[in-house]
Amino acid sequence: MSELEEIIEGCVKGKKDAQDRLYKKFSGLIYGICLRYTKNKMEAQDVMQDVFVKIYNNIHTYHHDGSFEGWLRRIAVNTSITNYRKNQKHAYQEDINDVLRIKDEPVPVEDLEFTAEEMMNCIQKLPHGYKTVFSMYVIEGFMHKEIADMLGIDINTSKSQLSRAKAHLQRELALISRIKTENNE
Amino acid sequence: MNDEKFFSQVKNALEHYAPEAPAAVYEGMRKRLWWSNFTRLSLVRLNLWTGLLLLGVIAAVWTYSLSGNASAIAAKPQVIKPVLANPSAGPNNTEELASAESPMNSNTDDETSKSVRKENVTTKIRSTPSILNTTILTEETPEEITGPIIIPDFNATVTDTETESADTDMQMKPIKKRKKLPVEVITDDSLKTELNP
Repeated sequence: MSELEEIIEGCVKGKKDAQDRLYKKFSGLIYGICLRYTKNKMEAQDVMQDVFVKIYNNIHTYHHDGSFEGWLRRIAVNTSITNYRKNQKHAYQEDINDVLRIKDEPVPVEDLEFTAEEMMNCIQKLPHGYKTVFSMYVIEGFMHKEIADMLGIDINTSKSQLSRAKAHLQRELALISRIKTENNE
Repeated sequence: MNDEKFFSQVKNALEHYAPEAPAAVYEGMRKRLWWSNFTRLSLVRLNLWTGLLLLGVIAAVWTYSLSGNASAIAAKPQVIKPVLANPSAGPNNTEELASAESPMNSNTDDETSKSVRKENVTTKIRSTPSILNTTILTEETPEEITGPIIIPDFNATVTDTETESADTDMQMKPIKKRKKLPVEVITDDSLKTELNP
């Protein structure tokens, strides 16, 4: 029996040490997912707590028929989307400066290399709706139809938000790249 | 094409991104987990619902026992039982008293037990207050006076004639038949008013 199977079995039995081991092993991954779907770190931590409570309460429904990490990711994404929809009435109250600042002109950044931290900091600066659509499409691999259904928005809204999110992100990454180049010189 | 390349670049960078979560998150998560378990409907563990159920059962049993006691007190006739106390008796006195009270275990005849029962009935009638509204009869029923009355005599020595009832430590004394008094019906209204103002 592998270490992960032992942890899962312990969690099914409700053992605290197994729950702690599961938390230590996957808390970073879950926190990273929650950060992509929430407005700030505080909200991400709040959603992360809900995710772990759901995992512990529903771990008996995991039947080893797929990747356990994939199962955890799905719970984290679904919980984050539920949280997003709960706060949906405030989701489109974006800062007017953010909307005006974003231009659809893409900046070529394909040849540049960025760390995960840098990428994450840029994504955190995106408006909440853009960030959610971008993460769902790019990282989780959902289609525009699925995104529209899950978030309760129009398909065209999903497409336009993705386009704007990409432009915003490329601009931010280009800015970081320029700062890095200036520092090296 | 450029979009796909950019998206895959972002995905590769962020797919396994795992920053360290603050320690306070763990504490909050444990509290939420405890609350979630406490409020979850489950009969196998002690939580809010099983606690409420337990409380309800205890309250129901308590209420039932209280009402049962109250009805038992209300239904119980106020019969004054003769106390058979023997200061000189040993530790087996309780058993002896019990056997003496039970008509099935004693060696006395049927008439004895009958008279004891009758006495109880008459005591009950006398205790009712409605007697004041009825006509008072001074006549005593013949059964009451002819039947033997049990008088415990603990200091008396057991004789040959009393060997049958020796185990009950009681002496059976026949009472002399009283002279039958004539029935006198009180019809005086003033006396009624005096008794029941």
